[in-house]
Amino acid sequence: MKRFLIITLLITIFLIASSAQAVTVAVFPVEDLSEGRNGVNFTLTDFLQQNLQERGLEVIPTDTVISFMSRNRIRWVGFLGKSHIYQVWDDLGADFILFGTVSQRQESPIAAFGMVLTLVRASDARTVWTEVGGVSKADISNFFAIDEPESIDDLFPVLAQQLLSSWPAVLEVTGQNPSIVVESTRLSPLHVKPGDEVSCSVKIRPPAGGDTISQVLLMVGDDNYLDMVEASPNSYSVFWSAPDREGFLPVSLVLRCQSGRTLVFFVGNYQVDTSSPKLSLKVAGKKVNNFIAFRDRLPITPVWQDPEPLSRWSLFIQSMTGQVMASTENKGPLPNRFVWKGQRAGGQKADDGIYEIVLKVWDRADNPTVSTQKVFFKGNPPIPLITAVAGNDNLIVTLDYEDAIPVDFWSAEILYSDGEVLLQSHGSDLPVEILIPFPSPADTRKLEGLVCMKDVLGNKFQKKIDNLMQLVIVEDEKTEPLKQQEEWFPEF
Amino acid sequence: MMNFAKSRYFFLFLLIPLLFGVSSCTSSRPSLEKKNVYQGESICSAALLPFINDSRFAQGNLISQRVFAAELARIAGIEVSSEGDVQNIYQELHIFPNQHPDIEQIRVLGSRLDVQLVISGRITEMEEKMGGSHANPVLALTVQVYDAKSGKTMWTTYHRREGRDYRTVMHFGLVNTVTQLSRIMSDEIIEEWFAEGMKQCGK
Repeated sequence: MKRFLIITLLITIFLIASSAQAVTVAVFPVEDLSEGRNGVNFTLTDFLQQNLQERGLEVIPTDTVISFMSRNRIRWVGFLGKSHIYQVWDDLGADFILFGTVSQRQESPIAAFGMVLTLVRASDARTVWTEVGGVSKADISNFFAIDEPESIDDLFPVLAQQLLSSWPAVLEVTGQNPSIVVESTRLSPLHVKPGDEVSCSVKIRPPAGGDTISQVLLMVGDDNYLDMVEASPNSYSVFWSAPDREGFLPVSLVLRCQSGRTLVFFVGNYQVDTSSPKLSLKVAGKKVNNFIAFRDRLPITPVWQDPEPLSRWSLFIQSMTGQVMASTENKGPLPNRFVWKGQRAGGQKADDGIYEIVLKVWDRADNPTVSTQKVFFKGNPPIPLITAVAGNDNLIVTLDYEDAIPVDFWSAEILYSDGEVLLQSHGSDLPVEILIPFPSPADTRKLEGLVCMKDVLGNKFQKKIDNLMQLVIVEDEKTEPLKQQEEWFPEF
Repeated sequence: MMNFAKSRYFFLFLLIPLLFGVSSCTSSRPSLEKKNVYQGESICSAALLPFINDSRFAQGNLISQRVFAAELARIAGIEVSSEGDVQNIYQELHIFPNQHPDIEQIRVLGSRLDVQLVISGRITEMEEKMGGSHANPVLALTVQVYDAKSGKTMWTTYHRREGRDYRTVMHFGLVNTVTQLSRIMSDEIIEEWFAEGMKQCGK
C-alpha cells in the first residue's frame, strides 16, 4: 500500500512537472539585417528552435509558422503587430513568440556577429525577456590561440550561449488580460468645407476572453458623440456633416466596455475651411499702355497673401477669343514660377496680341480661387513706315512705325553704293525727318540707306534700301510705303 | 632600505603612465537638452519610432533601433510597443519611414499604442574603423523623446562614442562591434534619463 502511494505521488509530481514545462514557443524566422532589410536566416532559426527544445520547451515547427505568416500576409520578419501576436496565440496555440534579429554578420573588417533576441508572451503581447549582444574575433583570445574563432560560423555559438544564458528559469504563461486592439482607423477627408460629408471607419480586435465592448462611439469636437454603425464584424463607420464653424476639430474613438471601463483613442483632427486661398499673379514684363508686354518669355509668379497647402492647381493662357494657347495642371503645391514663351501647345509661335493668364487653385478643402492677368505678346519686330520726298536741296526721309509697342531706338545710315558714308543719325523718338543733301549731278553713285528700329520689348528691325532715289519716285507716285518683308536681317 | 626606495620609485614610474592611460579613456556623458519636464508618474510604456539613418552604415538605423528597444525593456522595464503596430500606424497616416511625424501624428501614435512616451532616433554616424587587429566601432545618435499626450518634445539626447573609449588597459575593455557599442550607449542614455529625473516603472 505504501509503495502504491509513493508510485502515485511520483506519477502525480511527474505529471505536474511535465504539464508545467509544456510551454509552447513559436520561433519566428530570424531577421538577418546583414542580408538587407528583408533578410532571413533559417539556419539560426533552426539553431534557436533546437536550443529551446533542449530546454524542454515545445517548439512550433517552422513550416507552421511560415504558413501562418503567409495566411495573415505578414510581410516582415523580426517583429509582429499586437493583433498578429494575439492571432499566434489563437491560431498556433503558442504561449510565447521568440523574435530574433541578426544585427551584424560579417567577415570583414573583422569577423563579427551581433544579435537581438526578444521573447514576447502571446496572451498579452508583452516582452518578457530580451537580450542583445555582439562578439567579434578580437573579443576572444585564448591561451596559445587554442580554439580561437576563425570565422562568423565559430562566433555564433559563442554569442548564442552568452545571450541564452539569461533565459528565464520560469516562464509565466499567464499575463495580463489581453487588451483591445484598434487595428485601423480612417478619417476622411481631413479638410472640408462647411456641410461636406466626413466619414470615419475603424477596425477593432476585441480581446478573446477579455472585456467585451458594449458601445462604439465617435467623439467629434469636445462633446459631440456619434454612434458608430457596425458595417461588418468588428468594423465600424459613421458619416456626418461638417459644421459651419471654421477650425480644427478633434476626433476620438470611444469604446465603452461592459465592465464600465471607457477607452478613448485619438484618431486625428479634421479641418473645416471656409475661406478660399488668397493669391494673385505677378508677371515680369514691360508695362505698355496698361498692359504687361513681353516678346519671348514671360515669367509668371503666383504671389500668396496667406499661404496654404493646395490640393491641385491649373494654369492656362487664352486669347481674347477664348482659344487656349497653353495649359498645365497638377496636384499638390504650386510651382514657384511658370514661364510662357509665347508659344502654342504645339510649340508654334503665338500671334501678337492680348492674352489672359488664368490660374485656378483649390485648397485641401476644395475651396477654389481664380487669379487672372492680361498680358500683351509681341513677338514680331516693329513695322516701319519709311517715306521720302524731294525738297529743294535735300531729300527728306521720314521714319515712323505703325505698332502698338513704342520704338525706343532707331538708327539710319545713308551711304553711297561704294561704301562712303554720307550721313549717320539715330535717336529714340519717332516720327523723325532726316534731311539728306542731294549729291552733285556729276556723281553717278547710287544712294543707299540702312534703317534699324528696336521697340521697347527688344524686337529688332533692320532694312537696307538699295536706292533711296527710287524711294522718292515711289513716294511721288503715292504708292504704298515699303513693307518690312522686302529684305530681312536676323540681327544687327 | 635602499632597495625598497628604488622599487617604490619604480612602481611610481609604472603607475603614473598607467593612470594617465586610464584617465584618457574616461568617457563623456551623453548630452541631454531638456525642454519640458515629465510631470506624470513613472514611465512604463513607450513607442519607438523608426530610427532615421544619416550614416553610410547599411541598416544602421535598424540595428540601433532594435538594440535600443531591447535595452529599454531590459534596463528600464519599459514596455515598448510592437514595431509592427508602429509601422501599421505609419502606413495609415501616410508617414514615410524617413519622415518625421508631426505633433498631431505623434499624438495619434501615442493614443493608439497607449504609451506615455514616443521616442525617435537619428543615427548621424556609424562605422567600423579598422585599427590593427581590432575594430573600432563609432556611433553617434540623437534620441528625441516626446510626451505622447501632447506630442511635444520632452528632451533630446545626443551621444557619441567609439569602441576604444571603453578601453581599460592594453586591449581589455575594447568594444569591437557596433551592436555591442549600441547596447552600451543605449544603456548610458537610459541611465542618463534616470539620472535627470525620469522615474523608473513601478518606482
